[in-house]
Amino acid sequence: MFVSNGPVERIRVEVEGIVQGVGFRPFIYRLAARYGISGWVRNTPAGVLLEGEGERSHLSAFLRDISAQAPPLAAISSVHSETISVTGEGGFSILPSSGGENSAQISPDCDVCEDCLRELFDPRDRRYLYPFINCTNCGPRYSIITAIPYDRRFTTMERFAMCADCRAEYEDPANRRFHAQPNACPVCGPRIALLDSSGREVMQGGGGRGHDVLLAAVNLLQRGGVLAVKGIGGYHLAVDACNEEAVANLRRRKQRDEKPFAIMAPDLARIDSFARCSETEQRLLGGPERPIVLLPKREATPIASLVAPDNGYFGVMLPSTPLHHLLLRNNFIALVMTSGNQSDEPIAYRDSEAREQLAGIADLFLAHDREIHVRSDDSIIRVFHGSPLFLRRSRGYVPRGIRLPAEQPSVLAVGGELKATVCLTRNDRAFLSQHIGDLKNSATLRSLEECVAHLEKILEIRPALVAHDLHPDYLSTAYAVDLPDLPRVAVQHHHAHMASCMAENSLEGEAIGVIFDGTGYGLDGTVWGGEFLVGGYREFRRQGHMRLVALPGGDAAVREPYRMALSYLFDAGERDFAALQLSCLGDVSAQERHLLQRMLERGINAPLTSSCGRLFDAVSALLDVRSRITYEGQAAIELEALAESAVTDREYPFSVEEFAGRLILDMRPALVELLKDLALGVPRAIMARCFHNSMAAATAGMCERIRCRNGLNRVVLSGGVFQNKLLVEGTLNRLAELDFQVFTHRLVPPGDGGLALGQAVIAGCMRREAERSTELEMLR
Amino acid sequence: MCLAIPMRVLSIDGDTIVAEIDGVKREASLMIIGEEIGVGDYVVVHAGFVISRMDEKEALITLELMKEMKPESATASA
Ligand SMILES: [Zn+2]
Ligand SMILES: [Zn+2]
Ligand SMILES: [Zn+2]
Repeated sequence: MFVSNGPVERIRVEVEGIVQGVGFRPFIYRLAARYGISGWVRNTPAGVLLEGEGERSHLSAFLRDISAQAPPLAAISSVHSETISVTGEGGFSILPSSGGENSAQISPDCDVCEDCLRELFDPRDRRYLYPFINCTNCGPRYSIITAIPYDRRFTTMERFAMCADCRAEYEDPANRRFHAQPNACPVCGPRIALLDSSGREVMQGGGGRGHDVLLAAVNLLQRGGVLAVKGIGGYHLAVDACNEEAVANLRRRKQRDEKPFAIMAPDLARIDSFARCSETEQRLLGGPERPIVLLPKREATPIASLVAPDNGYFGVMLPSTPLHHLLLRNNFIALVMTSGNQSDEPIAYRDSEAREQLAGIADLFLAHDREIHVRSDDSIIRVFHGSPLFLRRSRGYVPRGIRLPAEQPSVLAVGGELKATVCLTRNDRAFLSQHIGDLKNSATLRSLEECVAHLEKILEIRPALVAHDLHPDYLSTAYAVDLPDLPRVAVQHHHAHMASCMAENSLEGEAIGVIFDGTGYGLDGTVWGGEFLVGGYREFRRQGHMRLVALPGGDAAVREPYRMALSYLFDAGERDFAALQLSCLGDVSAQERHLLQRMLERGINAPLTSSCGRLFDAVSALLDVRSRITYEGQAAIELEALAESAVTDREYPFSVEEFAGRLILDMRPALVELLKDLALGVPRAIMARCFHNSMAAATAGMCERIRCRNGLNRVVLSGGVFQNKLLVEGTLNRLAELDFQVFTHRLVPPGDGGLALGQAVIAGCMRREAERSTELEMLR
Repeated sequence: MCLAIPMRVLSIDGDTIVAEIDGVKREASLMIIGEEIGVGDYVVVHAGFVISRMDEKEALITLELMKEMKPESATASA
C-alpha cells in the first residue's frame, strides 16, 4: 500500500478525444491504484471526467501518465485539470456514465491486439481459435454501433447474452475485458458458418469455434475456389493469390478486366517475398487500422500476374479480424481480398443482400451471425516522402475527427460524385465518413443517405447548413437540394480541393492552390481540372490554368484516352487524322477518325476543358500505354508505372501566356518534342519520365509567376492527379528549390474522397462571415 | 445437425464427382474437403458439397438405419 506523507490535494480532470470504448476507465483505475490515489472516473458526453485525491507528487505523476501511457486505441486531444477542495474520500471507483448531449468520439474498428492474438493461438486458452476474440484494446467498434452511448445494448452484439465467464470479465475493472462491449467466447458469442448462396448451411460450426468450417473454407481456397468472407465492414471476395487460374476465374465472374485486386498476407515476412516494404510502410500495415498499402512489386514473385497487371504496385494488407488470421496463418502466402460487390455497387454487408449480389461470383460464403451495422470499405494508403498519402480513407480511420483551424457552425458536406464521402463538422472538428463509392446509381445514393443518418446520430450533430458541389447533375447535389429546411452553399469543385488541403494543414489566410484533377464544374460552365488558384476558405481567384482543349465526345473522351491524344494533336496543328501513324490509333477506323476530326473542327459535342488528368491520358495514349480504360485513372496510373522504370533529368519545354489577366500554361511544346522522340524511337519509359519532369517544372514555373504577382509563398497541392507519386516528388523538389513552402495531403485523400472536407470548411467560413456581417449591421 | 446422406462415388472429374445412392445420381463438389477421395469411396454429400468421407461399414449401417426410420427417404426422387 502507498504511504503518503506530503500534503494531500484533489484534482478534477477532463480528458477529451477517443477515450470511450478503448479501456480508458480501467486504465485510470489501475493508474490510480499504482499511485495510491482515491476518487472516481466516469464517461461523460464530452469524454472522460475524473477526480483524484492524493499526495501532490503522486497526483502530478498520475496526470503525466494519463497522457503518456494511455491505452493503444485512445487518441487524447486534450487534458484539462484543476485543483478542487479535498473531500477525504477513500478508494477509487468507476461510476456509471452520465447522460446528456454526447460529444465523445466513437472509436474506429481495430484489428486484434497482441494479447488477444496470443490467446487465439494458445490451446490452453478458452478462446483458442475463436474467430470473435476481442478486448477493450481491440475489435469492432464503428461498424457494430447502432446508437449512442457506446454500450453493448446499442451494438449488434445485443442479441448475444454473455455467459458467466464472459460476464465476470466484463464486470471486473482489473480485467482486460472490463466493459469490452463486443466481449464473447465460444460458449456465448457469434459463430461462423459456411453457406451456399441460398443461405443453406453447408457446414456448421461445431463447438462454437467452428474449426471444421474454417478447414473447409481453407480447402475451398486451396483448390482454387472463390470464397466470400464476412469481414468487419463488409464482405470480401477471396481466392488464393498465387493461383493464376483462380484469379482469372474471379476476374471473369466479377467482370473486372484490369483493375488491380488487393491482397492480404498473414505477416510481414510473407509480404517481403513479393513486395518491397519500408519501415513506414511496415508500421502502417501493422497498425490497428489495417489499411491496404501500395507496395512496389519485387522482380519475381509467387503472386499471380493477373492480380495487378500493368502496375508496379501491389495493394497489400495484413489480417484485420481474428477470422482472417485463422484463414491465412500457415495456409497461404496471400489471398486476393477484393471488395465483395458487383462493379459500381457499394460493398455488400448484410448477409442476405451479400448472398444475392455475390451469388454468381462466390462458390461459398464464410459468414457469421454478428451483424455489420455500418458498411465500410478498406482504406488505401500510399507512402511518399516517408509519410502516408490516403487514396481512400475508410475502415480503421472513420469516425476519427480532423481538427479544423477554427470553430465553425455545424455543416453537412455531401462531396462530389466519384469516390464519394460526406463530412460533418462540430465546433473545431470535422468528421469525414467512410468511402461510399461512385455516386452513379440509386444504390450508392442510398448508401450515402444511410451514412449521413448514422453519422448524425452517433456524433449527435444537427447541421445548420449543407454544402455541395457546384455541378447541378451530381446525385449528391440533387440530394442536398432535396434536404428540407437546410440553407445550402454550392462550392466550386477545385476550391473545395484547395480548402481541404489547407484545412488539414491548419492553414489560415491565403495560399496558392495547384489543383490537378480530372474533371470539375467551373464557374464559367467549362470543365476545369488544371487550376492555379489563389485564395483562402472564403473566396478564391482563378489566377491561371492549363490551356483549354476539346473533349471530343464528352465522357467518351474520358473512357478513350486516344481521343484526348487526337484532341491535343489537333490543338498543336495536326489536321489530317487519316494519315496519322500512331500505334494507339491502330484499331481506330477511318470513319471514326473522320468523325473525330469533324467534331474538333466544328467544336460539336466537344466541350472545352483545362483538365490535367486528360493531358496525362493523352500522353498515355500517345506512348501506347493505354488508349481505352476500364477503370478510373488507369491511363495515368500505368503511365506513372512506366515512367518509374526510367531515370532521366531531361525536361520537355512548355510555355506560359497571359490572357485576360490569367496565366495559361501551354504544354504543346512538350507534346511536339515528345512526338519527335517518338519518331526517333526513344524508349517509351524515358519519354514518360521526361513528361513527368516537364509537368513538375511547369508547375513550379507557374507558381513562381503567381508569387511575383501577389507575394504568396505557400503552395497547396491537391486534386486526384496528385496521387501520382512521381509528380508530387518532382513538384515538391522544384518548389522547394524556389523556397516555396509546400503543403500536401496527409489526413484525407487528394482526390474526390477528400472533397467533402473542403466543402464543409468553406461553407462554415461563409456562414461565420455572414453572421459577423449581420451582427455588424445590427450594431449600426 | 443437418441431414446428410452417404453416397458412393461413381466417377471423379477434377473437383466434381458423381455419386450414387439407390440408383439416384448426384453431382457434388470436392472443393471443401481436405482428404483425397477415390472412386468407390463412401462420402457424405450436403448442399452440393462433399463434406466428409465415410468408412464403408459405417456408411452401410447408416443407410440401413435410414431405411428403417424413413422408408421414403431411401427412394428419394431428386
Ligand atoms: Zn485485444
Ligand atoms: Zn462467453
Ligand atoms: Zn476532383
